[in-house]
Amino acid sequence: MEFPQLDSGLIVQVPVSLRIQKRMDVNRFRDGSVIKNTNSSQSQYTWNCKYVNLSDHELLRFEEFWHSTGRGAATFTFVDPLGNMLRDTENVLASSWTKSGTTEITEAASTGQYKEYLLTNSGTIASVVSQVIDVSPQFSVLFSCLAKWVSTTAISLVSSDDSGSIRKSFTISGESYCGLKIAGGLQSAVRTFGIEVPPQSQVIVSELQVEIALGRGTYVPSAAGGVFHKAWIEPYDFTIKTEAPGAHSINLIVHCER
Amino acid sequence: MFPSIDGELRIQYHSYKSLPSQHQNARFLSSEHQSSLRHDKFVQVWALHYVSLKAYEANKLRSFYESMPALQSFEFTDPWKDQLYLKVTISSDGIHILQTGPASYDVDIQLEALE
Repeated sequence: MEFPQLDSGLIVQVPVSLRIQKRMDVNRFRDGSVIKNTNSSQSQYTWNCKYVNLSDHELLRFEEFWHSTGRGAATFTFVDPLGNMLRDTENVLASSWTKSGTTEITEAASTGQYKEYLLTNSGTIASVVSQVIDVSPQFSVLFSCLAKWVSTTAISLVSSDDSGSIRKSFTISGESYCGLKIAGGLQSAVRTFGIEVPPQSQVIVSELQVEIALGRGTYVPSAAGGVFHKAWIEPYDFTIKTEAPGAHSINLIVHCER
Repeated sequence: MFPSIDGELRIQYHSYKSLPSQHQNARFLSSEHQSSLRHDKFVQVWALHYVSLKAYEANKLRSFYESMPALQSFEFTDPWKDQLYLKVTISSDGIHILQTGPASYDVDIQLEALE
């Protein structure tokens, strides 16, 4: 079950808010004393998504989604609109990243505020550093990174699934942001996003990001990733306010625990 | 140490609360752990309201909160008195982030310390 997309390709409008709260039982006794219980390491995430000026067919998408959740009873996958869908973007050495062939990954001395990683391919065929994430095929996503090298080098950004792959190649001289827009072309919700390094090449990469966006947004460092499974809507209320013909407003409050 | 932010900070309020509490540390057979604080002093509260932060500043605060176990204490310097507090925690209200524009964020977070 997928969250609806606006005509713009986005899933929320601004302003959008997020509250994160650690799971904690707070009990206050009659004498005023308090016990805070922290049994769970989980946090509750709550997004308040307000939509205004929705067209008739955008509203219809939300109505269909609402009914498909059993009017709020069923869970669905939600992408944090303030987040980065990739995991461990500040730790490319983590197990969520895989490397093919002869790629070596080492942490580089960072010149910016985010960690940078040197990718070295000493082999004779191209190698890829990649991560698998869940992305609904309906969403247009942007895969981007900052790449740099003192002289000239090349990389390709690749997204692939069982049905095929999409790639874009870049020549890097100095530093530049690279972006691969994926709008259709892939069918599976389980998709690989990778940086391909040509044989006998090196490149420094940082600020890896996958987002549902029209253009590259500000990089968001991500540890656990912005794809939230088993999200739900609460309160179970879907109130439509129509300001004018073809201009509707709704408010959805989405929750998820992680 | 609570992260330092370059953006504008408006302290909504800076208050003292009297919360007499009991101290209890217990580990149950299920390995669950329960703890509370005992103090006869005041709890000091800072309600921090950051406005028009850049994305990386808002995410610095978010990452700090997400990476911090619940009730874990940290150091915080009172922005009014410039006094260092060694054991400060984030209130159970958590952190609230409001994206007001393509790259503009307001963040609310409430800190508590035993004075």
